[in-house]
Amino acid sequence: MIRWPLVLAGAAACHVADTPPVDTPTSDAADPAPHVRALAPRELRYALEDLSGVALGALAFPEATRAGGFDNQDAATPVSDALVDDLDRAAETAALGWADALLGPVEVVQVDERVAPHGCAIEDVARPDDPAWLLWLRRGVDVAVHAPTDGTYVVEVPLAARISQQQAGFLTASVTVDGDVSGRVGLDALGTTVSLLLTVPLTAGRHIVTLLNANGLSPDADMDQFLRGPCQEAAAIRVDAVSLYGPVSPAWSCPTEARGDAPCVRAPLEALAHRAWRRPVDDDARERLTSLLSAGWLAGPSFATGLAVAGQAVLLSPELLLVPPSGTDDAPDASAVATRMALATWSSVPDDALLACAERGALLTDDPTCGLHAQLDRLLADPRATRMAEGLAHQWLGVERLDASTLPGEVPVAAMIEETVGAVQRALDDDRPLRDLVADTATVVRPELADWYAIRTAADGGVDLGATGRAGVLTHASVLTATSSGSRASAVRRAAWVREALRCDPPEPPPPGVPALDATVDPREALAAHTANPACSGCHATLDPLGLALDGFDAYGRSVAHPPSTAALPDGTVLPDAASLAAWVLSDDRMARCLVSRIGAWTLGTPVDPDAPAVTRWLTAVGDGGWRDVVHAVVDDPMFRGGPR
Amino acid sequence: MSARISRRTILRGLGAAIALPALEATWPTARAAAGEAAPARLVGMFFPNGNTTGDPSATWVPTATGAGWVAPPGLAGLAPVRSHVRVLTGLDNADLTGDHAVRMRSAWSPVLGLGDDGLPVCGPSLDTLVAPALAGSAPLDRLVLASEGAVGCQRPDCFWNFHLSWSTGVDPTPRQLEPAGVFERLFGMPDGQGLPSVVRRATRASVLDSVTADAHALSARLGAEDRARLDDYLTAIRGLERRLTAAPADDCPAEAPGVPADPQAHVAAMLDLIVLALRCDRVRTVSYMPAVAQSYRRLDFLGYDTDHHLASHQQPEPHTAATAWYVGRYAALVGALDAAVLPDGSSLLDHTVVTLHSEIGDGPTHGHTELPVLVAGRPGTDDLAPVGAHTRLPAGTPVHAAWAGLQRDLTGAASPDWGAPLGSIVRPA
Repeated sequence: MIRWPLVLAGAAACHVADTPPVDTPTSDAADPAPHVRALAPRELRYALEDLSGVALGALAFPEATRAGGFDNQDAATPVSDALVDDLDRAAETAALGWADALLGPVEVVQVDERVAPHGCAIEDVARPDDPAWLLWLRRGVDVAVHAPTDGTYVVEVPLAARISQQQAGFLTASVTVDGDVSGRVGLDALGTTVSLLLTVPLTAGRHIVTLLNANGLSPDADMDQFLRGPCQEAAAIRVDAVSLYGPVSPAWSCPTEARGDAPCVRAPLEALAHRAWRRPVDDDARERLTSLLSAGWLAGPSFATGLAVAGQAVLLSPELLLVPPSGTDDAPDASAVATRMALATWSSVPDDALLACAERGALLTDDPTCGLHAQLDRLLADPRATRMAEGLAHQWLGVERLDASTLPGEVPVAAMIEETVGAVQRALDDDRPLRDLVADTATVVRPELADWYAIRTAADGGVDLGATGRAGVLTHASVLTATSSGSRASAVRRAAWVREALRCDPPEPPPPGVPALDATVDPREALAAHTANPACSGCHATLDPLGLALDGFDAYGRSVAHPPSTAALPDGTVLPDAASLAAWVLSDDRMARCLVSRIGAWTLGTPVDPDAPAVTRWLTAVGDGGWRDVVHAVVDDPMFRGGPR
Repeated sequence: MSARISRRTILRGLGAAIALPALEATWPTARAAAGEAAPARLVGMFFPNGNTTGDPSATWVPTATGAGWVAPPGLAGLAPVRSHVRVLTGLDNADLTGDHAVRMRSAWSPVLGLGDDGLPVCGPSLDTLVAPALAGSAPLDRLVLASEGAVGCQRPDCFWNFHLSWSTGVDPTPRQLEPAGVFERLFGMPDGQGLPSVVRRATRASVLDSVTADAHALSARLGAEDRARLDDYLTAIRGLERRLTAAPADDCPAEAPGVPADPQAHVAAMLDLIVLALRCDRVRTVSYMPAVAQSYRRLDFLGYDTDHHLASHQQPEPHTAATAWYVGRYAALVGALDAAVLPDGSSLLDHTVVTLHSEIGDGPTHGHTELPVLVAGRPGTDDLAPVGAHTRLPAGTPVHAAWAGLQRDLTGAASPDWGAPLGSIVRPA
């Protein structure tokens, strides 16, 4: 493993002093500015899930567009009507789930004639324009609520005063839970509703919430005496319902007694916005969110509704959807760098820890905890980093081409995909050398794929397949099946895959007017026609031998008896089997350049030519290192911080 | 109270939908009663890998012209609806060097020229050009649907295979692949999901105002060049605002589709959705790719152990069978639109132009001549190509002239980027 902090310092110095001119185009060179990009649909789904804690599996997003094969490229993320429509619904669902998770289940107890008043009659008033029963409390009531489990709960009581015209000033309402924890709130004479929130620990079971019209009641008054005293004839307090939320999540931070407009009530919302937008919420935005919180609270049955409505606006905001450039190399935007790091590794937005490092100015340093490489290692070690392995396996190695619904039922498609994703995952987790992608004959497979391969594995699914003629990802059943045509293996498509995925050298499409191959003869003989026909041989002479080397595997990746290939490349090299194909792939630096450029493109969000100077730079930095080191080298590069491309 | 059709309509196959007796109930009756004329609509459907394997007359081009044409095997599936379909032959795309992807890019979009890389530079596609004019009071501008997904490929042009619809010269319009998602765009989230409807109604405008204000604040922090995506975002938000006041689909109920089990069921579900969307007037412009260009779809479901692309190069029989299958889906769509009767007694097809075309003509050679083009619906009296007839255009007639003609028929004017339009193909709007 490379000691990255030194490389970080070195890279910055190198960029200033030593980088050759071709590497540092001036600002007016082609395409100098990083562009705003939108989250890809896949990233949007993960971000919403991570932010809200809600699984959105059933929700649809439009298909991602691609650039250079990847969905996460600056050039590949248009903002379409369909995307915003789908985001709109997903944001609503996610925000509702988020508010529910924050506050827990709610029990709403209507305060009505069934609730026993303390001595004084409670006057119920049904207004023709308001179907709800409004209750005017003239002394006090007890309301029973039920806590489903032990935990912290929030008791919410919306209250308003009705005072006769002659009286000015305020009324005081008091809310007590189990005769113990209590809160008081002053109510103005205008009838404005004020919610009182009591945050209390409750044991599972029944609890009594006592609401008192405490006008003139001193906190240390004798309660029994008060309850036997006169009714509040001229001044009544309106109360509709008592709501019990909980158990609430630890993110709920209000003290025992709080008014509904207290900052602690909107704190979880601001924390959500801070994470979603990757910046602290400014005053204007706070005002907007607070106003939505009130509007939703007013419209809905509870203040959880207010949080959900405001949360929807947080998640639908362009501040979540759009990723600004990472600043410039001279003045990098640390929060944008953090966002791009999280997108590369988690396909999602940063968590609080990464954001905090960026905001306190430590991310772009070699701080042992908050520094760039320390944080990158933390991100890569997180379970969310499987999304990077999945993305690379699907979009680069092409296992996304497998569609179980179009393959024979017995083909273990899911296990095939898992083998390839797992190989990429282990390469990243264990910082494997780049060559291992084809050189390592060890693999891990599920039992159904072991059966398919006709092999026995260790208990964890691990097995070395060297003796069976397999050669890393070249012979993964996923790759071999994805390049087949019906039940027939296609040497040309296998070769095209090797050229595209492992050498970043996709073959040109055939020229117009290509003659049909004779489908009635043996595929090898048919392919021999390529060599005989000058119109074909230019390309196919360099192509077909690569695919024919894999003839020991059928259209679904199973080993089959087959004589070694005798097809020769133009330089006379014969690749009889998969192992020799692997050796050929590793015989020059093309695969290393290709892998580094692909990992680089994924990480940067912009295409990287395998022959680009950046690739040379990263290969030099990585040396004998592995996959993780490549990611470190890319994130360490001035390009990642908005430097010239 | 308005009459209602079976809520299961959308779950059934298209054939069942055709058989339903009371489809007129689903036309937004309030607007019909108010005398609003049934507006024009466009559905552009695509099929991949061309229509012939060497000999056009063997599979596609009828020998006779006019109404008496005899269907070659590729067109056999048109039989139930042939009186509604114009078979146009003799059409040619520009002679561009390239294969499926290059021809796909220009299949439904005008060619503006060649770029430095020798690849065509094209404009927005036909649906993009007509959607704003057709949208009217429909809540959605258009749908861009597909039943076969895009996959990663590194060549800069290869992703052209995945897109029929282009919003601009450089941005394809993202496609919707999930029937349930399409349904929710058309009709909203099902009851019981999301916020209570009373809350949504009360807060919706405020939420959209809030995110619009966010966008303006964000705009101040971005460079001019970086604001394009933000503008797209604001356009989309305005679409949501428009839907706040759009007529509800209350008199056009339907049940959300499930998750299709295989590609054939997926195509059927999407065709059901297209008919439903038009019938309920939720949208008036639709593009649909049941498969991508250069599709490698396996043809097991047609009884052939091969894939479509390979067949298009080497295997005439499965290639023709695949072509006939897609033509059959098109015929089912045309039939369903014909069976949907509007309050004035006319059929939905009478107001809807339904096209079918492919990225190439001949499969093995990626031919750009003798392109397959079918146009159904909206019969007119002065049609260049009468409905129900095979019209043989002079060899080499640019296919873009046909698209230009349709644009002019539907919107009153054709984009000059197409070149000169053909005469009227369908009844002008």
